[in-house]
Amino acid sequence: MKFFFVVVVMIVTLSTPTAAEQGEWVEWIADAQLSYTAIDNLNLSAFSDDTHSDERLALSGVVGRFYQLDGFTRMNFIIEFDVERYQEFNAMDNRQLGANFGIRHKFGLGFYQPYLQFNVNYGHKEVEWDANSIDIVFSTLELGQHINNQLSLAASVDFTSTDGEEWTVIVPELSSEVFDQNFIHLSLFADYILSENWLLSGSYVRRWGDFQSSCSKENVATVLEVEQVKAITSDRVFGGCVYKLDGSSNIYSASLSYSLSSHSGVNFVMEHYQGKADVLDYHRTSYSLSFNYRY
Amino acid sequence: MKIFQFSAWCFISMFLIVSWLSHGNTIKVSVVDDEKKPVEFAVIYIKESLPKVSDNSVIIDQVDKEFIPYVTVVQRGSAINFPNNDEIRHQVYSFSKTKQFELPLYSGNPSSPVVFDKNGVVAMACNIHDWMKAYIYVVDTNKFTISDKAGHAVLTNLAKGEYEVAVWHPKAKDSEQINAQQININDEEQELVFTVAQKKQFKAWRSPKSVRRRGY
Repeated sequence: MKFFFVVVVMIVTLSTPTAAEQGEWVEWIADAQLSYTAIDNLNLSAFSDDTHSDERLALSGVVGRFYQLDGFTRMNFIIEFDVERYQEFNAMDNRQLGANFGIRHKFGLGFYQPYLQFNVNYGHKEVEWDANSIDIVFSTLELGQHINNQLSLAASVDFTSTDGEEWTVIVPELSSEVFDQNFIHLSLFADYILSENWLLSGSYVRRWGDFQSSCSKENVATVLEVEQVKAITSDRVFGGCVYKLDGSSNIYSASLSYSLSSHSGVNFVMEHYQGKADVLDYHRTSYSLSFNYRY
Repeated sequence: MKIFQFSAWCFISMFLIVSWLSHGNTIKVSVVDDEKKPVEFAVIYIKESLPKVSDNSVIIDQVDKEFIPYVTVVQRGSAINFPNNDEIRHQVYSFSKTKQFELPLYSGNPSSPVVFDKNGVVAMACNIHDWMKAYIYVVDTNKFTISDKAGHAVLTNLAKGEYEVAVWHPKAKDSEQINAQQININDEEQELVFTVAQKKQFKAWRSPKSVRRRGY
């Protein structure tokens, strides 16, 4: 149904008089990324004696095409896929397939003109542990601009909704739909070109809404006592319980990219997640190294 | 037989005289930056005022979403063609005081070339692909050249005399500032070294840093 909605948006947009008169399919999109990520506190536990770390290998790709409406507006139609493999917690291994439609408008002619971009995405994530398999729908609105020939800034807001399986009820008065989540991201991005080959990027994301955390059976009582848990179920991945909370989070990210050519580059990313619900704090840090190719 | 020998001598003599008369002198130029590293794409030219020309053989191509070449030098009055050899469309524009123009979204060859009839710098770009950037330098002479990767260039076919040789580069600290040197051309090959201080100036980032696309 959601995928159908995305297709309808595409067809309606392409059917507009402007698209029909001036529109043209232009460059193909074919990007690939191979990444290695080390994650500290993969389960986002609030208890220091209960955290699990792991390493992840991921292969991601997008295939699609741009449709140029005029000199200032273009659309993208993309099919995305991701495959992720975990070193230890294989129950989190997953593959994801999705479709993305985007439209970008640049407000005039010139390097310093700002742009506005809207994207809508539908995907399905199939996780080794079935309970964790979800449908994901999100939409993003982004405004960005080159500030000078080294610095670019962007801000975006996105709404995400995930729809997962209902799993084992372990606390009778609480839902077990941990993987049905809704959240909003407000993001700020900065890219700073250090030299012809080096790019420094940073982002800050403020997140409101649902997030999930896992803990051992020993810590469940504490969680239920101090947090307003929205849903809880047993956790096959880490052996305890996984629960859903409503809270706010800060996500800080810094990355350093090295350009190998116009079409390829390597990227090192450090990300820190800092979440809070009612009482407990939830922290996760990850380090990622990736090779990226763009056709 | 004597007539044949005489004719041969006449031909050889004429050839030598014409060759000698047309023989031009050369200036070998090296362009380096503050750290003595070679500078590519520096425009080196003789400062003189020749009438404008109507040359339309100059081409700035678009291949793999880049302008080729990055720097072009032309004599005032020249017309430049901007063929698009990509299979997609580009939108070429310039806001420079020397020449403002726009080639609305197009593929293949634009219907007419663009004439550059004023001296100075023309910075051009593509409105679709922000990293596409190139420069045109318009001068009043037909004696010009551009330095290669090693920072070397040669000015040829110069008659004897006193000249002022100037250099311009898109990353020169003040792009409008022109460094010049006086040189006296005689039968010997001359060598000049220009030091052009570079400022930080970058094209928009093109390499992929994630499969998740944002913005441009």
